[in-house]
This record gives sequence, C-alpha cells and structure tokens, in this order.
Amino acid sequence: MKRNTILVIVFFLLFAGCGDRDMALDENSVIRDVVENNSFINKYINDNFTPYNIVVRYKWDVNSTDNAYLYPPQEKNIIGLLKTIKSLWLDVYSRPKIGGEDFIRKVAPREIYLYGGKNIYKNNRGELVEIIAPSGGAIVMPIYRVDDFDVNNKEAIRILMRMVHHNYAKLLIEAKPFDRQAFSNLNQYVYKRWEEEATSAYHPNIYDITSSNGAYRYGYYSHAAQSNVEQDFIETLSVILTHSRSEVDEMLAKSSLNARKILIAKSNFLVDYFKKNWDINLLRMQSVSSIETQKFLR
Amino acid sequence: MIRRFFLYMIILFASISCRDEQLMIFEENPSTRILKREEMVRNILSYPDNTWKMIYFPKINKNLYSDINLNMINLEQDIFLNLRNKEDFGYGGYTFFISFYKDGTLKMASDLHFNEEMTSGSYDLIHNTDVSLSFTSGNIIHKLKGSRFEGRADFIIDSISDDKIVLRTSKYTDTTNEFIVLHRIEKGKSWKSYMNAYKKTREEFENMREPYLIIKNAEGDTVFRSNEFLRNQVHNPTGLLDSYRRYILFLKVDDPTNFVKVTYLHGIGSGFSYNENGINFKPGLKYNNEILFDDFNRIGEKRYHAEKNGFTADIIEIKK
Repeated sequence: MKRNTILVIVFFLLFAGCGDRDMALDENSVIRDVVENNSFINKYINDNFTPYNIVVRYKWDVNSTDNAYLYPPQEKNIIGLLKTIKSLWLDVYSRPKIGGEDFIRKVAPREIYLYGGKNIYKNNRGELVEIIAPSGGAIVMPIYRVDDFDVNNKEAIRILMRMVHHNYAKLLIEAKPFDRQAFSNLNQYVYKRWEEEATSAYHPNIYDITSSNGAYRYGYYSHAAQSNVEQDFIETLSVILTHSRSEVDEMLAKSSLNARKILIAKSNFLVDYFKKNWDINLLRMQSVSSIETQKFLR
Repeated sequence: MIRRFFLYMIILFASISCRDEQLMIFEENPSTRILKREEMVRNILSYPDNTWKMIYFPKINKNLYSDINLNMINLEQDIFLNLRNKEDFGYGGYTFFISFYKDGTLKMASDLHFNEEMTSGSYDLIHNTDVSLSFTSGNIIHKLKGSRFEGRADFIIDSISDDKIVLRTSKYTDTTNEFIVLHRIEKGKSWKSYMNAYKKTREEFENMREPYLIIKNAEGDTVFRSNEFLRNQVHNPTGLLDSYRRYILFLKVDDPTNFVKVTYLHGIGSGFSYNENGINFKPGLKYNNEILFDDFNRIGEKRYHAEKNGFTADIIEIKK
C-alpha cells in the first residue's frame, strides 16, 4: 500500500514536470536567449554539419582559448572552407566502400572552431613558431589560417585538410588506440620536441613534406611527426590522406634507403590499423581523397 | 548572577540583529544592473552618430629612451646593431574608424592599411565583472593580434561617456603600458576626411629624409638638437624598424660621420600616431620630468611644432 502511494506520487510529479509551456527567460536574466540567426553561413552549417551533430563556431569567444595570438576569421572565406571540409573529409569517410554513411556520426568532434590566423606558439627560446594543432583533446577541432584560405588554390586546400585529418586522427586513436610501442620501434631516431628546438629563422614550412630540410630524411612524414609517437602516427595519416600516391612516392624517392624503409613500414602499419580497427582500406581512401581534391579544384 | 547577565546580553544582541530593514547598497539586483549597463553601452556606441575614432597603442614602453642625459655608449649599447629585441620599442599607434550598430554588427577601417572602404564585422558586449567590448568576427583590428603588434581585440571598458570611451585589456596591470581611447566623430564629418588627412601626414612624415628634433627653452636657447635618427620607413619594411611599428628615435651623436669613434650617443624616442593636426607621440618625447612633448601640430611643409611650459620642440627636415 505504502509502495503504491509512493509510486502514485512519483508519477504525479513526473507528469507535473512535463508542462508544454515554453518557458521564456526572465527579462532580467543575464543569460541570453539563443537567437536563431538565419545568415547564409548558419544555414549552410545547419544543413551540412548539424546532421553529424557537429557545431561550427566562427564567432569569437574570449573564453575559448588562452592563446593570445589567435583571432576570429573573416566571414568571406567561411563557406568555401566549410564546403571543402564537407567534400574532402565528411563525404570521403561517409562513402559506402570507405567508412559508410554513419561513420562520422559515430566518431566525430563535437565542435569545429575556426580561427583567422596561424596557430602561433612561443618556443622555449621565446620565439614565435607555427604548429599544426594544439596538444590536448580532440573533441574540439580547431582550424587555423581561415583568412588565408583560397578555394581555388591546391596548396591552401592541402594545408586545410592537413589540419582536418590531423585533428580527426586524434579522435580515431582515442577511440581505438594503436600499438604505440610497435609503431615507435619502427624509428631509427628518437623523438624530440622539435617545435621548441627549432629557431624561428630555421623553422621549416610545417606543411611542406619535401623541402630540403624535410623530416623524411630521418624517417618521419613531417617535422611535427618527430615530436612523439602520437604525433608520428597522426602526421603519417594526415600526409597520406592529403597527398596522392605519386606525391608520397616522390618523397620516398628523395629519402635514403634506410629512411624509405621506415616510411614504408609506417604506411603499412597504418594500412593494417585501419583495416583491423575500422574496416577501412586506407590506400583506397587515399586514392578517393586525391581524386576528390582534383575534382574540387576543377 | 553572571549566567543571567550573559543571558540578557544574548537576548539583547539577538533582538538587535532581528531588525526587519534590509540594507540595500544598490537599488537593483546584479543582473538588472548588468543588463542596464550593457544597454547603456550599446546605446552610446550606436546612437545617434555611431562612428567612432579609436586610437590604439598596443604596447608603450615608457622607460625606453626617456633619459636625454643617458650616454648610450657608456652603457655599451650599440643601438644600430643591438636590435634583437625590437619589440622593446613598442607598437603603435593606430587609428580605427568604427561604426557600431545596435544589432551587434559594425563597419571598420583603419590607418594601419589606410583602407578606402569599411569592412563589415560584428561585436559583442560580454558580461564579466563588468561589460566588456569584444570584436567577434575577423576584421582589421585583429591584424594587431597574431605574431606581431602584441595587440588584443577584447577590451574592458574603463570609463564611458557620450563622446569618449576609455578601454584597457587584461594584458597589463599597469594601464600606462597601452592606450585605447574612442572619440565619437564630430557630427557632419566623414571618417574618410580624417583618413585622408592621416595619410597625407604619414606620407610626409615617414618620408622625411633627415627628420631632426630641436628643443628650445623659454629663452629661445637650443637645449637639444638631434643629428641622427632611427625610425620606421614607409617604403622600407625590411629596415631596422618595420613600416608598421611607428616609432622614432631622435639621436645626438658627437660625430655622425664616424660611428666607430663615437663617444657619446644621446636620444629621445617615442611611438606615435597621426591625428587631424599632425602627430601624437606616446609616451611622448621627454626632455625632463616636467617637459614631455606629445602633440605636434603641422605648421608647414615638413615642419611639426609642440610647446610645453615655455619650451618648444620642432621636428623639421634638415638638408645635409
């Protein structure tokens, strides 16, 4: 009897809590009502990113970062940039013979945060150098250099997609970790914090994989890859997905025999990781990615 | 007896503390006050003449080259070679012309690049301990962030009136290390007329081949006369001071033709910005603790003049 009374009260309270009134905020509240902005940019985001449960932020929020060198993007480049991300990341992973329609929905950043300029970082010499992505979590995908983006420029597209694939790889290895020791053992040279050691005067173009002072000479796909085993894995994937097979081969041809063996072993390691963990053929995804980039530039 | 005394005392204190008056320091609750403050700031920014002139010196080094009696040679400071810490010179100043609208949008131009047209953007008033002004979409003011200029685009409102707003950033505890002031543009005047005047002054001042500073006392005696200078150059961005820095150092050297044998090297330096009448220096060209020249009016072709406490300062071009 007593139990029934409690149940009745609980049900009553539950129904009482389900009023259908839209509770407006008190007019004196400092919390603002969300104003539905129907700008073209917001509509594009709603149509193309909201279905994946991804929020795209392009307005400045002073509390979003403690990096004093960052600033919000100019709005003129945003649509072109988001279209590129949609075509070369979301659509590629969502292809039936790659990840499938629901792949991104299962593993996706919750927010994409756009910044106008480079990701500037002060190294231990007090000099300002650029790094691809900040250390830390992957739930927010920061995209830098939006103001420099040009939808007709292959290099600009490549730089953008290097950031996207770099950040997304963080999420993938968080969801399904790789064998760090085995991957690390492929190297001949130990990892070093190259961002802190590189002086601004000799700081390389971090997105250029075949420059004369390229990291490929030491068996790394990029300078950032030399930092630690996670960066090594992430950058290997980012470079593979933003360069055609012939471009990667060109880099391999420049490297020494020993470095080439390391680079090929790393590529094979990733092919194996993607097949076993995600049932994705990485080389097919590389080809699709390359073809889609070419199509995009037409 | 003692117990009863304490009991009376407790009853007495308890009854005093039970007054039904509420001590109200403010008439309204905090959220109402913040909202009213925000509305007041938004109204001032956007109504009725909504275009403002914002002068921004992101970094002012008030101690650098502020002692005219200091012989830099004695300090073994090789001023022309020892410029690895160029940021010591500070940055600024720059002027932004901003039209604020009530819906949170704005238009902006600046003498940083001497824009012909304003570019659109947005701003927001943020609630922290007080209302702050934040520029929320990329615009010219954000050029002061990134790897140069050491500027900010989020500002705390220090004081506000109908025609003047003083801002600061969270970067400095000492507010004299930066200068951010907005003045409402005079009714009937266009921002372009200001910009054109600034552009003309800049072209003239930064292209003066040999700008010298001459300071005279109340009796008309020359007390300082520079014979060398170091400054940014409009058409030489790779020079010792890049074209956007806006800093000038007037030097007096015993033998400017032979720097190897120089035995004394004195100087006065300051950052500067342009205004309708000429040039404004911040922290100013300091002769001594009482004499600091800041506003120089253009009085003729390549001639700028300032006065302070009977002393005069002229910046002129000397043809060697």
